[in-house]
Amino acid sequence: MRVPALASAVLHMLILVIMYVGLPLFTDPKVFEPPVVIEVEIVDVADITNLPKPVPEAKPEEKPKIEPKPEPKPEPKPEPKPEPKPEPKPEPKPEPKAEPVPEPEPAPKPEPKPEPKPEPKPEPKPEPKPTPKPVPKPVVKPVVKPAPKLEPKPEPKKPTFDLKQMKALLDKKKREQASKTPDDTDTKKPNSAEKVPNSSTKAMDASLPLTMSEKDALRQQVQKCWNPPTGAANAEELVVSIRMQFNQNGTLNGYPEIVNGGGFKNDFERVAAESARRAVIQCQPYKLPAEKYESWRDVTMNFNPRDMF
Amino acid sequence: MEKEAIVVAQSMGGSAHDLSMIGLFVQADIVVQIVMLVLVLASFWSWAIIIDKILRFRRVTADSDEFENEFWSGGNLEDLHRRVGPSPDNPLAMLFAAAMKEWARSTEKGLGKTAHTGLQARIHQVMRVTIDREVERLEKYLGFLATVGSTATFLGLFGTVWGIMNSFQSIAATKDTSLAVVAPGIAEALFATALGLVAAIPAVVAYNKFSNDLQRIITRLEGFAGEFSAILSRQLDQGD
Repeated sequence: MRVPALASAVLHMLILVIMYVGLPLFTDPKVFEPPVVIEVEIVDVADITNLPKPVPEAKPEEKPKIEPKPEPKPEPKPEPKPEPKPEPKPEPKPEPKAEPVPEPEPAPKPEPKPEPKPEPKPEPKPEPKPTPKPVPKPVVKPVVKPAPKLEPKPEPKKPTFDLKQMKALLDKKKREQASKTPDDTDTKKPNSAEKVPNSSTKAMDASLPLTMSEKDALRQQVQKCWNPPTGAANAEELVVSIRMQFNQNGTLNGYPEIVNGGGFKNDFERVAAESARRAVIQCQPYKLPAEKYESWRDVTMNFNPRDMF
Repeated sequence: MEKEAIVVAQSMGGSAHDLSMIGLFVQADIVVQIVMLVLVLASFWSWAIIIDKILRFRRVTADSDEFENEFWSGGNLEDLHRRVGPSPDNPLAMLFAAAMKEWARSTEKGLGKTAHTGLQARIHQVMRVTIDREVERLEKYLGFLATVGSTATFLGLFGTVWGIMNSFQSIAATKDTSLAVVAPGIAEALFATALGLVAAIPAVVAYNKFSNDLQRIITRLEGFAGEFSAILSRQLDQGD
């Protein structure tokens, strides 16, 4: 019996080692860790500005949009868009070569693919469908979306973020390839994000197709992170106001306040308020035009679940 | 309010959950950890038994084949007995040796005519006892496999229920409905069920296989015992 026991022990140790070292088969759960995104929250709560982590978070989310935009931009309006394209693309590529060579190239490819997939799902219901498809082909419709995205992108990229962006791209690629959860979030995000620009577009389309108010840009970014409470009674009426103050780099300054004029009527309201606050914390740093810092330094934002349904 | 939110944020991100299997184990509740340990030990021991049984059954079958070939080759039984020795390691040979020993002991003083039936009964008895003893040796530890097979899943389920209980308590404590609060606990808890299944499935499969094999070996032993006692009784009658 000693030999078999030994063999069994060896077998189990082997499995243990495999699990520890991680065969490709067992590493999936690690790739599954979008919680990295959440990690930033701690930092924020503690009010320590730790840039490297927040940057990858915010960027992966925006990038999906960024890449589709560069494509449509050249077609619709050559004047403003051509500039952003050359800048972001050349910058990330040279830097990545120095450090992670294989990463930059694969990153752009995976992104376009996953994006179209999440979008088609939300599309059947609202307006999103026209936007994703038209983007590659026609030029007229895409104009609306590019505007909000363009503003936030050029600014962060130019300063010093190139390396980080590349990392973010990589992160994003991992997420999209390995996990379904990110896909879900992605689908939600485009959905909500598109609604915002669309609503504003209808009003602004003719006059200012390429710009979006700072507040809308902010709202769009926050909504990506917001999971409105589901299953609550009268969920669409749980409107929450959050007041937040920002640092110049787009991170939160202090703790977002729930502006509610007093207590909550019921648990659902509190849950909704906290979910909104979590969204605000989770999505920072925000990409907002730095030169207009004064206009978004102190913002009160309404979270209306109706936008999400 | 603020405090609550901070707690939530920390429990969401602070854990930075390590979702590797070892991470899951380390982070689990103590009860769940004990369950997991027990399951791992059960798995270890049942694999030890499985390996032991596989080797032993294979050897027994091969040895028995070899012995039967020799036995039916028509050689002298006394020679065969001498070659096999008093305590061979395969059950068929053991059966044969026991019967031959009884035969030799009874016949060395010469055979009375009345002794025939008594001798036959004695040989039969001896073979019976030998079969029982051999079978008992072969099926040693098989009960453990059966037990692991039927209880490991329940034990794992217990660990899971316990872990999920904790998860929901943590929801209640933090008053946060975010999935991020619950998910790690549930992952840990489900890991216990996974371990239970990992332990139970091979045990059940092996138990079924081994009890089949054992049944076959018993049938073979009984068949051999019958044939051998027939041979002996024929010899007795011829010896008259």
